[in-house]
Amino acid sequence: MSDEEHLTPELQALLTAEREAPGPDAGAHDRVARKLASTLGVTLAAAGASTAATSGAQTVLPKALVGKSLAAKLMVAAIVGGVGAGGVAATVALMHRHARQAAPQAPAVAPPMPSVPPAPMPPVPAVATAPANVPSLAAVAPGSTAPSSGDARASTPHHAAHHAAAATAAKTAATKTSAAKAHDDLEVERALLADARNAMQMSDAPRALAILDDHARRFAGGQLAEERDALRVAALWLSGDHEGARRHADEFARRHPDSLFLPSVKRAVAE
Amino acid sequence: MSVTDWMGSAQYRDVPQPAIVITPLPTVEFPAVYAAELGYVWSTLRRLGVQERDLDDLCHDVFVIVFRNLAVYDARRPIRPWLFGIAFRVASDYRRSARHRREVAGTTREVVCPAPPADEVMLQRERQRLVLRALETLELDRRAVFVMHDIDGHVMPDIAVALGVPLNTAYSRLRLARADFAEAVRRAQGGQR
Repeated sequence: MSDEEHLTPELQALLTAEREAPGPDAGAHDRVARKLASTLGVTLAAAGASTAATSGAQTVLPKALVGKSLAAKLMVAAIVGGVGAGGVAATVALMHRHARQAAPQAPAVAPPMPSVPPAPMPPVPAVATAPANVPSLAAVAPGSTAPSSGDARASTPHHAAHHAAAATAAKTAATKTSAAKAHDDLEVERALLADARNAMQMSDAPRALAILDDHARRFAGGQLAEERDALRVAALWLSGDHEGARRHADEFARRHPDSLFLPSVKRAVAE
Repeated sequence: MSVTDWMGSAQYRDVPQPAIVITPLPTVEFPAVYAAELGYVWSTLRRLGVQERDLDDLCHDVFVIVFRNLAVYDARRPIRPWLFGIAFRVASDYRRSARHRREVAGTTREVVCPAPPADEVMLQRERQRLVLRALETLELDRRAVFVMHDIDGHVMPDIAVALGVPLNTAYSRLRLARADFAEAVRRAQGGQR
């Protein structure tokens, strides 16, 4: 189809103008980041740093890397957002966590896939337990605040004020703990599924299935259970258990009729 | 058919989706994706008819989905078509709600001839407004293909994958969208051409 012949130069000029339309205002990055922190428990970059990272990424990445792999984009994003902004301020806490979790398997910024042979995989038990030991660098609960020193009760006797502050701190800590746990669990889930996928990439279906079993044991109703079930279908097919793969695919379709992964699951069991 | 074959030759059909297998996961970091692509998501939602005041909320919704699905995103594929697919679904839900449907219907079908611009900046802004108003006259399915292809510059196979439609359907939608868009612009300019 010769697409361009249907657009007159004037229409193309209009579309060119739209391509150059301004993006979100300067505060949008932080506003959305705060909402995401509240929803997901991820700690994104601070306002000043995030603005620098965002503007840099948005002006550099699209021009240089549109259509390229995400891995390549992220290499630039890491440079722009982390090193370029001082190496600390714009670096995101979550990235530290990922880097630590990923360290045994791959560098934080991996070279493009085709040129790098797969790294040796650690045994399944190590994969299953490693993320749980990661220090909680990003475990600051969204919306959590220090105990208020401006409260009216601050004028009460010292020990009472101290007690109230301690109670507030305990409540805040509980909130932190809950949010941080949910976030930590999600990170562990993601790490497990990443390992399962890597195992499949290496045609190691038994290992992939073992990791998926481990995920199912630890996170039966986990936040990524749907993704796990989808991966299991492909892993079963890879293992040669086509009947089992079809059975799980049918079950997946029944349990997740609107899943984003359903088409892929169907294809996975297509002869 | 082996999984490897399946991964290499998959013809995606139905919905925007991350491929299930293979990705050098350690390089896919949500904060970096957010930092690099918020602007693209924001512009995409705007072009899909999301009201200005709702853009923050819907950007949030898109990135929540991105966060939950990044673990199964195939990092070897360009990310923007994948993001567009997610944004498209979010925008579709948004427009289906009665509250927004009334607003969209009441404010976007009317295409008004812009006043003569005072200078180049004004001209550029008027062009952008004209494009958005013309886009609003397009059915959302057609509009998505049109925006992805003629504004974003994605290739049709990626568009078909992102939107979950057969390639021929994507081409058909592009053809129809262009005709709709041209007609909308003509009407906006007083039907002079």
